[in-house]
Amino acid sequence: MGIQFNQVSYFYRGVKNESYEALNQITLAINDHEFVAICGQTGSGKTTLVQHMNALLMPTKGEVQIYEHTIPLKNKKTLIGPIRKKVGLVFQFPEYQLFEETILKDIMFGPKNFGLSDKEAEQKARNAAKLVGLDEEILQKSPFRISGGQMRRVAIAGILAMEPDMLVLDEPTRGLDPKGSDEMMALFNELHVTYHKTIVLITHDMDIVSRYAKRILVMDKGKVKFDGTREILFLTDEFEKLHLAKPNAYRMMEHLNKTLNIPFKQVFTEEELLTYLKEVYHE
Amino acid sequence: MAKIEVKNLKFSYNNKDEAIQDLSFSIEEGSWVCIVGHNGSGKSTLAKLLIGLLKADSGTIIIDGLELTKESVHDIRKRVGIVFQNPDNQFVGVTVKHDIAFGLENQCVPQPEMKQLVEQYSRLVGMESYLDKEPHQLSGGQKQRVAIAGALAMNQDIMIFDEATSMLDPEGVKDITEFIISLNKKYKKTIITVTHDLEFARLSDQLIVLNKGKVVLSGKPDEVFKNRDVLSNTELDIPFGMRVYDKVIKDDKLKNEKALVDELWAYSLTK
Repeated sequence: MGIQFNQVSYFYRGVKNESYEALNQITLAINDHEFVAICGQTGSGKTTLVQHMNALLMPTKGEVQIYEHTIPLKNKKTLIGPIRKKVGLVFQFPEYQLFEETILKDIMFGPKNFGLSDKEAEQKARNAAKLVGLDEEILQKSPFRISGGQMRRVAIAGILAMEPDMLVLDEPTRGLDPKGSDEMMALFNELHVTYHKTIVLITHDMDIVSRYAKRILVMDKGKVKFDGTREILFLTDEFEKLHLAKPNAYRMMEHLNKTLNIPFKQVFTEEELLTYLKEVYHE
Repeated sequence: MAKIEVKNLKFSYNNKDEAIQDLSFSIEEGSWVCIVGHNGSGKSTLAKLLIGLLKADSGTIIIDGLELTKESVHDIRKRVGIVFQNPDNQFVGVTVKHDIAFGLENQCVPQPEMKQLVEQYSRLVGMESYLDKEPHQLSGGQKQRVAIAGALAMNQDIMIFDEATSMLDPEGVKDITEFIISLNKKYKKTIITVTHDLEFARLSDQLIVLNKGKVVLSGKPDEVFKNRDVLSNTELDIPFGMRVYDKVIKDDKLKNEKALVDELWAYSLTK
């Protein structure tokens, strides 16, 4: 099932009624159990694209099929809630949206909105908190008295408590230090591998992209300019035009190839680079 | 004489754990010093102490020969500007020009002079064509530029950047990093950058590495990087090139490949 974009365009209206085309005739499928990274420069349409994935934005032209629902809705009486329950969207800096007195109450807010009783919502909240690695003891604390990294976990737990099949994350590691960022990515990877969640995430970090994503989309001026694997991405002729960096290991490999004549091989992570160096020199 | 002289500085938030423990260092005029530390190392606390947003329990801070006290704090702030992490939390004006003028208004600078200063410094940070824009029309990097212009307009010649790029996208990071370097090289400002990012810190003239409120290392980047056993205890992320180098010199076979070892070391220090 998943999500299907059919010829989707989206226009933002400016103050003087001039409009700006943020998405330009996008046709795209996100399938169940995928791990997709979306890259692209600021203003390329990444955030606009993902906000269509749980009907937060409605296409100006075209259609988005989100599981069994088609957006824009044909029948005005159809509720949009069930769609948002299927696809959980986590904004940039989601910790700014925390508001409740306690961490537990904050995580319960989503499930309660979907009509669950306090007891059911609490159970789901406790499960979600456990999933993101929050200790039982802190659940009664104020969400404003914990570190930034912990706050972000609370915000993500709030989405997971609604038990979505698909988790869409807009730059989930921005502003975190390297350790916090690694832990956050390990969490999404576990949700993907162990809990079979479909993961879609926007990131600028090419080391993260090439370590975790099985499929990479690159946006440019409202269009999908690349859709494929890391192995193909860094070798495409148009790579320069995509304004992306290469992963650290990849760049070092290119450097060693140039300076020491080590035969070039595509490597994406520190481990892959070291394994390859050992291969070359141990022979 | 040093531009900034810190002696035996101590500070605690709750009279129990000392966030800053007996800190001493000095910063030369016109240099770019990077204060590096992990979350909770005391680096942001130190930045706030330096501009008198927090008051030390004991010890002294001397800036331009003037000791920071309750009485001198306003004079000190005329010399030291600070740009914080979050571009949205420090934009106080309705438009770019009002934001740059905010500090000048507080100092009762006459209107014609203020107008001229706003124009001058908006040009310096490359925001002169955005004077009437509102904050929501600007990117994070542009908001940080406006914050810098506001500080420069007050003629502050020491600038502190407290994780000023950590919330920006890669273009914003590159933009502000280059701008910080030009403030130092071209406009001869004394720069203090506070960060956890050693990849960025290695570009500066001098590093002061904090851990648990103490200076654990200080010196030029290559000197600091030679002490990686100390660095690795600070929970800081060692730059990628250095990490590969460390693993290579621990490998029985690879460590004897001199050309490879030398190349990796040179690569990890390239600016």
